[in-house]
Amino acid sequence: MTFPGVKALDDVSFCANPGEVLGLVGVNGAGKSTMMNILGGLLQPDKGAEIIIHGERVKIKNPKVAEELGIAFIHQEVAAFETMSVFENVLAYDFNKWRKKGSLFLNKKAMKEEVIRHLQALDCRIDVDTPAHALTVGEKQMIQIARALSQGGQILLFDEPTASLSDNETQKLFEIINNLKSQGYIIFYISHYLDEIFEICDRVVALRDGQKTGEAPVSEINKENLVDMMIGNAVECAERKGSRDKAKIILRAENITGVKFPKNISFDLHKGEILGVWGLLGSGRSELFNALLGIDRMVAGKISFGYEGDLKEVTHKQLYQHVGYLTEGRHHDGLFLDMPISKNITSSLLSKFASKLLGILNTRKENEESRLMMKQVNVKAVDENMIVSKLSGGNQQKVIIAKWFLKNPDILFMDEPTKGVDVGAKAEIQNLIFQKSGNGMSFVIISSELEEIMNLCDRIIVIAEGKLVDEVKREAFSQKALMAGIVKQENSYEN
Amino acid sequence: MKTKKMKSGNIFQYSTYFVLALILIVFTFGSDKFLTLTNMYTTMFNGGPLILITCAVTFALLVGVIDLSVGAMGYASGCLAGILINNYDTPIALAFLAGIALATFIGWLNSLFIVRFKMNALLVSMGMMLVIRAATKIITNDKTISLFSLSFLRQAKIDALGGFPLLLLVVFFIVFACSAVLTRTAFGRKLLAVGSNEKVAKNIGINTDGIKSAALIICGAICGIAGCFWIITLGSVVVTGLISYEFLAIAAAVLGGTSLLGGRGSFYPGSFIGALILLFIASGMAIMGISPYAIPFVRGVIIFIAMYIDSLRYKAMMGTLN
Amino acid sequence: MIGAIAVMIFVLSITVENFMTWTNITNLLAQVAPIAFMAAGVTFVLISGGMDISGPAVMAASSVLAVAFITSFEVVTGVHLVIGCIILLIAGGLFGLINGLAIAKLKMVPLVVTLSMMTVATGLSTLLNGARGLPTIPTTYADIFNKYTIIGLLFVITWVLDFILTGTSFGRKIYYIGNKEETAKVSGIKTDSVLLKVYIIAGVCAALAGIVNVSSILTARASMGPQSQVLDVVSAAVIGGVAVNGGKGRVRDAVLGAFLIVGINNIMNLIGVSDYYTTLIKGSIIIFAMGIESIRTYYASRVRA
Repeated sequence: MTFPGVKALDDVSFCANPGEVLGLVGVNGAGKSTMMNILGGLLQPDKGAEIIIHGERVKIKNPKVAEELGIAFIHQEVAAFETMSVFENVLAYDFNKWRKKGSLFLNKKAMKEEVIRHLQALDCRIDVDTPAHALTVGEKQMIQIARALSQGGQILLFDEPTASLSDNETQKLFEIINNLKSQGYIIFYISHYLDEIFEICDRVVALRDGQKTGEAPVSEINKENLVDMMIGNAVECAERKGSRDKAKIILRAENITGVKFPKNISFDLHKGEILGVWGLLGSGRSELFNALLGIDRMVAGKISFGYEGDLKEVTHKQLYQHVGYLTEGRHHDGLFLDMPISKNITSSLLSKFASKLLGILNTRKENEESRLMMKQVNVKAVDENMIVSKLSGGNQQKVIIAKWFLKNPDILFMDEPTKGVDVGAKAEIQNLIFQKSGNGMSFVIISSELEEIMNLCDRIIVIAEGKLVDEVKREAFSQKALMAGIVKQENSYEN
Repeated sequence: MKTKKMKSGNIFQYSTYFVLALILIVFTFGSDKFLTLTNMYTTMFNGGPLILITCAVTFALLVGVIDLSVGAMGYASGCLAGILINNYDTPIALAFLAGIALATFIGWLNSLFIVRFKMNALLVSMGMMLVIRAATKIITNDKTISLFSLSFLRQAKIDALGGFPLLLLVVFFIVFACSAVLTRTAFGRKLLAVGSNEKVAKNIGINTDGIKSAALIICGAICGIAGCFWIITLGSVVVTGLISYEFLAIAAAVLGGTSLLGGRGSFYPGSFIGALILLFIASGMAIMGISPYAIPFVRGVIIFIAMYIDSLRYKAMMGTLN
Repeated sequence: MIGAIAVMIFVLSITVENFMTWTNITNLLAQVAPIAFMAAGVTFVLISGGMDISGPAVMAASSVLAVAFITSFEVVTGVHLVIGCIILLIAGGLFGLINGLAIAKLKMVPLVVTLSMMTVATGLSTLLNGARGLPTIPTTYADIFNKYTIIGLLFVITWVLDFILTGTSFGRKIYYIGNKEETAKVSGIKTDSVLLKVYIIAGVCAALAGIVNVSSILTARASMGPQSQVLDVVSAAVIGGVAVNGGKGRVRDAVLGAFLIVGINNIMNLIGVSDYYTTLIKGSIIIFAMGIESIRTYYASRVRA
């Protein structure tokens, strides 16, 4: 399966048997979601792909076909019909089936009985008349599972199901999965919570960069093996100028707490330092950025900023004047897709090109500076007027980097700066970061790629479940060191 | 897990009844002629077209389409029926059928442009409204048509109930029929599903385009009936018939709890009570002798408040209310 | 778009008698002005990704307020006229402010907000209009705001608004927000403040239209801003290439669109077509233009995917 520029899945093969829970692991972008989307009928694989169910070759053209084949996809983002009741949500896939004989009216009694039956099998006691918007995420998930069972599905795909669940709900879910397992269902389970994989799965398949990098029965491996398969071997750290501890502190974040994540995170940032933020998917790293920068609500916390170490408390708005933010979703909030490169680049600092009094724009200056930035960052495009949507992912990312370099902020926050970027551009971007930091710009970088984050950073803070669990200095960088904090956190959770 | 009932939802649900009760109380104090059976019946009878058009537009709103041509569709239907009766001596029943057929056809046209060709619903229905009004003006030569032959229908009453207009039963029947369809048939449930979350509905296998088209066609049909009702109540076809009814109907629907974004709403109590609220405001103010020119303003303010409450309702439901 | 109008003018100047006369063209331009002003204001809103259907209603309400003020004096002097104009503009701005607050700060849906504003404003003008309507204002007003002043105003305002939108940082921010509001926020743009101003501008533009309309009837009536006018205004913008979904278009083109729409009326009149057929044709052209717009967007999205 190929997306423009990057192969999302490359020759991945595996089998699954009834009564088995198969776990699927891999870092962000490894290809797990693509795999599930293909099975769920939302994406089509390239030629040469074969899907065989019960000995028959099948083509899963759309979600409806998937349903007919007995495949049920329980999504991470549980979307329900908020205004309708539980039993209507469960049976929404075929209302017609429930008409009373010879009439247009629905046999609601029978509908409710059917749904109650399925919910009981899941040991779930929600009142079937409750409107869906009143349910918790966990309960909405139950509904999805009930719907899958009602449709007669034999194959269930769970995509990060516990991400929004409480501990109780998670345990409940595991009981259900075990139950279904003993009834002969095939269950695929994607998760980044390694503990869960060990608890609930029989076998596990690991993906990295679209390829299968490992497969084994869960009983035969341990966590470190699994991490190895997901992340690959650690690489030697490249040269990086000496420690930045001696430099003054430019930003101090204290007790940053968001609505769900982060939970009470504090850290310091020094001038010219490259600070890494490491953690598994869903640990709350992006949420930390969003809460710190005021994009999402910050429930509690104190932010202080100062050039010469004279830290003064600042508001989000004040902080943002000194900050740049390269977000994780460039198509969501990183780019103005239908606008030319120049306008994208200058959007971070329009005031530079506007007259003092009336704000009249100097387009010539805009174009000149955009060209300069494009060159600095090596954006490959015809000229600065090219519409951004026509660029490749790597070049789009560089445009966003150029945009923030134009503003030249004191601190640049980057969330997965090289996501979806080809190898050549990756190295270019990393060099740019080194350069700028050498000139005094501080960086806070989230990356899911171990190699990259160890390569780039002076210091790394480790986040797990919304909390800061560890801090590792460059001298001590190693795969083991970075995972230690996470493993400890997960273990402490069990006790 | 224990059973759950949405507590705050109840408050909003009953708010419609509450507002109606409030209005009735206020005006009863304002004039002793207000709370009489005659007044109640008359208001509802003359308000029949509005009640019906509100029901029609509710169908469209439920699937998330804002159809601004509803007033014009009703008008076209009444116009055609009136012309057939007056100029061509058509039997009344046949003329009505023709009018309803016309409105249904226009509803189908709407579905073609909005669902099939995916054009902007707001602008298309507005354009349709213009075209219909212009066309009917041409055909009627801008003259009023008096219809004496319909007066017997207007005057049919049940004396035992204090003069209950017989045709009001039609209105009630339609409201309840719509309500039954929405709450008790598969089609009604699918309407809600499509309006609530079109993408998920499509993924589950519901024919979203088909449902939306059906909703718009039904909307047209009910407007057709409203148009026939209109010429009965008025006794003539006037050029300014049913003007601005589209906005009143939408406002009434929203007052009654229908969401402009689709997926939420009801015919009874919802749209029915919403329309009654607007009707009784006008009736009460007229009885109290307040200048009729103040009516649009008072209605406007109430609608503004209702829209605000609706947005609060929506946010509370979605959990984004802080 | 400009091409279409140029062609239309050329063809008509040849075929229709009396079109290319000085009198006719100047009359036409004066007629275009109100719709053009409102279309200009709506353009700002549309580009920001919003919607405003309260234009004509706000125009009528502001005008009624102003005329009610002016005629409340026994003897109306020039000063009264001036203050009346100022009141008109401020009223329009206030209506716009309410819209903007509801949309930008309370995060309500633009269509809903402006729909309610339309009902309230219409109600207000009906109320003030009363049964007898408002008395007329002195003809000095029409002398000041004569045909030529109006045309001059049309050109100046169009140019100024178009420049604000395309040549200033404020205008650019509107395009950014319309293109992708989330990205605009992350880029550091204060979206709330910009959106608030956008709706105020729309309100003031509606008031400007009112100033012009008052001069032609020398009073103000609730019927000045019928709901059908909203379609004229929004269609003018859409025909002029302003995207309903935001991010694209400019004032200059919206005004040309207004010229096209009002121009059709004018031409039909000259040819001798009755009013009703004109509306029919206009409505059909609008539906046709929108069909083209929807085809355009359809293909644009196909290409990107």
